[in-house]
Order: sequence, then C-alpha cells, then structure tokens
Amino acid sequence: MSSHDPITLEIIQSSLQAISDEMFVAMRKTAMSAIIYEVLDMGTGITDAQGNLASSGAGIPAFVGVLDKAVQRVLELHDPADIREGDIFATNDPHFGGVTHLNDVVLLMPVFHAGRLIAWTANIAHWNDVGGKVPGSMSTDASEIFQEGVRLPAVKLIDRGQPNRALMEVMKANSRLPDFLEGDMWAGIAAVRIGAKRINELVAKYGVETFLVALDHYMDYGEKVARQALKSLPKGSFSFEEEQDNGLVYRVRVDISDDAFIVDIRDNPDQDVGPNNACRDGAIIAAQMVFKSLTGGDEITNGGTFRPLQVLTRRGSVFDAEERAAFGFYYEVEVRLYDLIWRCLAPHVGGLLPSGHFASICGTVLGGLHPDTGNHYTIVEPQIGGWGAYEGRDGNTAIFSGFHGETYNCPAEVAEARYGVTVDRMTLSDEPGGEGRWRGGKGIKVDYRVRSDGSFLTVGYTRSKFGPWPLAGGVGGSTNYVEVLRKGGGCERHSIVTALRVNEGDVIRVVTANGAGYGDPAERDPEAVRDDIRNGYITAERAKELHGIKT
Amino acid sequence: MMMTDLRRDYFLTRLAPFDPHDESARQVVADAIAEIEGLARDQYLQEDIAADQVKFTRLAKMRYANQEHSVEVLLPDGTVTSELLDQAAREFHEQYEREYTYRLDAPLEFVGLHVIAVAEVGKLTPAILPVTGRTPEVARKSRREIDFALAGKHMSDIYDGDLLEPAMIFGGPAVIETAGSTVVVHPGDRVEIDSYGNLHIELSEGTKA
Repeated sequence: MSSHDPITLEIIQSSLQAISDEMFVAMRKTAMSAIIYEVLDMGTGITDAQGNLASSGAGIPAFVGVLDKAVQRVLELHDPADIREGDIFATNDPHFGGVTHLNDVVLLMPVFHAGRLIAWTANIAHWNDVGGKVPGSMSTDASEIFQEGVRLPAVKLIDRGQPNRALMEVMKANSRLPDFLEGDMWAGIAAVRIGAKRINELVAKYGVETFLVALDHYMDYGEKVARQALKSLPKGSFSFEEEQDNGLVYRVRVDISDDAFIVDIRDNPDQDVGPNNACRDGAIIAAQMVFKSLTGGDEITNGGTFRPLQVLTRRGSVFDAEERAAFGFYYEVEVRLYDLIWRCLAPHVGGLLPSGHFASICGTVLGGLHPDTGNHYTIVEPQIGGWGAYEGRDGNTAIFSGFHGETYNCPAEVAEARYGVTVDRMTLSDEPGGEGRWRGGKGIKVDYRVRSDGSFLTVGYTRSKFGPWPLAGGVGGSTNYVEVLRKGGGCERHSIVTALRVNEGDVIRVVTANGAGYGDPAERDPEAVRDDIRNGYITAERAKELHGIKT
Repeated sequence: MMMTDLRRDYFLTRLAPFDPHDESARQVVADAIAEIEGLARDQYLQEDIAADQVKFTRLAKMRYANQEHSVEVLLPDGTVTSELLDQAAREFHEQYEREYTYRLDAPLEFVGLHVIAVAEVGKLTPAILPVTGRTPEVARKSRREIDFALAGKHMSDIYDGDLLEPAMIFGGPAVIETAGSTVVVHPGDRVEIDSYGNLHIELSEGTKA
C-alpha cells in the first residue's frame, strides 16, 4: 500500500466514476427508446475482475446493484478460458444473473490488460419489448417466466469482437419493436465498449498494479465507512409485519450488532403464482438500499460498503423465487420489501429515515398505433409521487421512489410527439392525506388522452389500498391508482390491470400518493398551515379540522 | 481576439427523412440551406459586408431514425444532389462509428442544419514598437519574496509590463504585471522583449525538468 501515492489512487477512483458517467451518456445519446434516453431507466457501472462494484456507477441505484451480481453469475457459468477480450455477455433472466425481469437487459464486457482479466464494464436498461404474451412484455397475469419474453441466459452477444448475428436476429424476431430493440442493444454495446476503452487508457497511464490496488483500497475504505456508521446505529433485534394490498402479510426481522446487519426475510409467503416475485439477488438489493441510507447517504458506495450486510431468504418464497416463476412486477415486490425494512427501522434510528413515501414504481404501460404515423408505440413510464415528512421538514413533492432514484419523468411534449397521446394535465395531487406537524410531499395527477382506438393499458401499482405510513402521530398518505374516464361517460379505478382496451377520447388519469406526515397535525406551525391553504395544498375545512386553524 | 473574422452560427430544426435518392427529402435540405444562407447574407449586408465576403460551412444534424440525439456532419459545398447527400451519409456512418463503436443499417433522419457564416474583415497590422533606450531597471517597480514551489522561495523582481520595450533582456526570478495578465519567470529563466513587445522566455535546464 505504502508504495502507492494516495493522490493517484484517488484520481483512479474518480476516473472510474467519470467512466461510469461517460458510459451512461453514450447510452443515452444513442438509444432509441424514450424509456432510456428521457426517463433514464438504466444504469452503468464498473466492477473488479471478481464482480465487486468498484464505484457507485451511474443511474438507478437498484439497477447499479444488479451489475455486480450479474458479473458474478457470468463468472460462475463460464469457464475462465471462455471469457475473452472483446466478448460481451447478455443476460436478462434472474436465474442467469439478470436479477430483475426480462425487460431489463444487462450487457457485460470483460476488460483485459496483457491477457489478464482486470475489470468489467456493465450496463442495464429497460428494453421496451422483449416478446412475451403482451405488448411491453410485462403482464400482470403471467404465471411463468416463459410468458414474459425471450430469456437471455448470460450468453455472448459479441464473441471476441464479432457480433453474434444469429442471437441478435432471434431477439429482434421475438420483439414487437425490433428496430428499437436493435438500436437500444447497440447503445448498450457502445456503453460497455467505451467504458472498456477508458479503463485501458487509465491502466496505460498509471500501470495495472496501481489500478488494481486502487480498486481494493477503495473497497476497503467503503467497508470502513460502513462499519463506522454501523457502530452508531441502535443495537438489537427489530421485527415488523405489514399487510399488503393483495392480502398477503410480509415480515422482516433485522438484527443489528456492532459488526453485522442481518436482514431475515425467511418467514414470508411462498412465491407468487403470478409475476409478483423477487429473486434472492433482488431482495439483497432492497436490503442494500436501506443499509446504504443508514450508513452514510453521501459517502462512497462500492462492493466494500455492503460487506457487513447479510440477507437470509427462503428458497421458494416471494423474496427468493425458484426458476419458472414469473418476475414481470419484481420491482413492486422489491420496493415493498425496501419500504418494509425502512418502516421496521424508522422509529428506532433517530430521524435517519423519514415516514413512508408513495413507495411504488407505479409502472404505467400504454401502447397502440400512433395516430399520426401508424407505427406501434409503447409508453413505459414509472411515476413520481410524494415523500414522507421527518422531524423538522415537510416531505419532498413529486419525485421518484427511493427504489427508482435518478430518473426523470417524460416531458409532455415528448410524450405527445413520440406516443401520439395528449397530455391534458400534469398537476400536483389535491387529495387529502399526509398531514402532520410536518406534512408529506404531494403526489401527482396526470391525464393522458388517448388518440387512437384499440390502444392498451397495463399498470401494476402497490400502496393502492394501504397508503404511506406516518411517524410520531402524523396522518398517513393518500394512495396510488389509475382512473380510466371513458369518452362516453363512466370511470373505472385500477391498480393492477393488463392490456385493458382504451380508445380514442378515453382519458387515463394517473394519481400517485401523498407522502405520510410526521408528528401531530395540531402542532403544525399556523403560518405553515396558512401557507398550505394559500398554495392549495389543503382545504380550509380540512385545515380547521386537523390543524385547528381558521382562515 | 481583435484579429479574428466575424463569425455567426445559425441553427434550423427541420425534421425529415434523410434519403439522398428521394427528391422531396433532398429539397428539405436544399430549402433549409437556402433559408439560412439567405438570412446570414441579409444580416451581414445590413452591416455593409457584401455577400461575396461571406463564406459558409454547412453541417447537417443527423441521426438514425428513432434516436433522440444527433451527430453533426459536414455537408460539402455545392448544389444538393444525390451524390452530395450520399457523401454526407457515408460521413455520418463513419463519424458515428468513431464515436460510438458501431454503425446501423437503419434509415437516417435529418434533424436540422447548423451553418457557420464567416466574413473576413480587414486584419490589423501589428506595428513595431519604438525603442527609447529605457533599461529594465526603470520598469522594475519592486521586489518581494515569491514561493516557486519546487524551485523554493526567492526574492524576485516585479516589473511593470507597460514600461517594457524591445531589446530589453533580464532574468528570473521575476514577475511581469500587465493589465491583462501576470507572467511568472522562474529562477534561471531569461526574458527578451522582441520588436512587437512579445515576451520570449528561454527556460533554464531546471525549469524544463
């Protein structure tokens, strides 16, 4: 260690972050689907030769957390002699290191120096349509993974620099949007190749030994930061159980000691016969994100950060589903687990975690024929919603769930041009809920007016029956749901629906929850209440009822 | 800065398929060029710069259909023909592959035009500065200690740059202060002022290393 200058190690670390960012930009600039280039439903990162995250990467945190696990699975499945310079592996299947669902394709490129494997560059992105029983590939009533699209079992998409054309043609032939699939696939290839090239330049500049020491050194530092933070957490055993919208009860137990943070989720329902399952790696990611929130949100994150974390799962349970299970809505299962661990610990960790947020991806898939071009379009969009309040501050309004992190909602202009829908409204939600001494942030209301007959809508929202949970006597938040307002009159409310037919003139209203409040509403600063009334965040009647304030 | 030509950048967005062998697609490009170049000439004319003094560089903003971001490709001078656009398409594929490691066999889209209109204006002629016979000592306004990092701390001469004149020679450690910038002369380096007032600094072996 002592022979390596700490400044150089720091430069290498910062370079790895910059390379992840450059990979991210390359993919954004070349992709063909708005879910990638606008929403940024993607992530990029770099691991060491063994598949440990070398930097915090770029993009959705729950996606960056996939990349290390995918590399480790490729290493398990392939003879080292069969992993060669110029190769790019593809996986999208939880059984083969894909972690999430078939729509999220992971591309992985080994990086070599003088014949020695020294790192991996990787990306993951949501591809709009990978086949399966419904457009957009995610079906709320799929019962087997075979109904959800083409499975890519960690195979070579590129072999020593040569594209595997046969595989590419099979993938295109299975997609309803083959041109987009091809464009997004090559965007991902560009990202990992550009990352590998930059790593080679870095190694050429500083030497391979220094590069490798920098990776190890920084992971050890990540572990040190996490262990230090762990020491200041309350010690003991914490348990919690919570009923879900679908009637199931999820349970968690967290044991925190000076040197370990153990999340036990073995006592949970058997895997779902539908697509509401997570794989073990996915459950680990949910636990990693809460662990990260507790052990230094602004500090570095890498493979070392998570060394004190252990996750105990039961094979065949909803959090460790076995092969053949469908995974289309894995993210709602993982965000539920993430929120469950959060809720379990929030009252005990001295303000580190705010009260509950809308905590659903609120994935909304709307597709059909573009009224202007006649081409098929598919909107795949996560939604923004309200966050929970905490002591001293109101919750954030209209941002993505903690699970989804650094993404953006699609601008109305882009949605209208690309998808041929009209965005009638994009406002904050005016529903009650989330009041407190500090109030939760507001959810949103968005109206999409459909312009062509025979379009379809698929959604899978949670926190639709049981809204976000409050702390310290606050009021719970509102709920997430979709309303379909038919042109001829009539209105249907949905939170889980697949391929619902919608026609020209129908309006799809997306409503997301307000975050939950913190503290007794009667104690809210009267000036803040008057401000809320002026801003339309609360009605005068409700303000009088909850806060005892007259205008 | 005072020596450069006048330059204006014009941007026009005009979405259309980029198909060199389709007449209406070619016309979109030709119309966009005519529109921007006409506008540029008119604007220069209002400043008494004749049309024949204005030179254009035309860049097409292009992408593969369905993409969001575009790449700028040089459009050759001359009338917009199939050959000219074929050449631009080849250039697009090459440039795209250089930047992003691959090319696609997919339709191209014209996103718009970026035109650079440059008008040459009369250049200034640099004049030889008069020599009054002042010595560097006259230009030296003070001395102070300066930390040159690796070269250590040294008492250094501070010069008023406005009082320097051709043929003066002096050595570092020194600092030359002018209204626009401050020039640091390391110990052992040698400064000579040329006929136009430029500073020539000859580095010593120590500074080069």
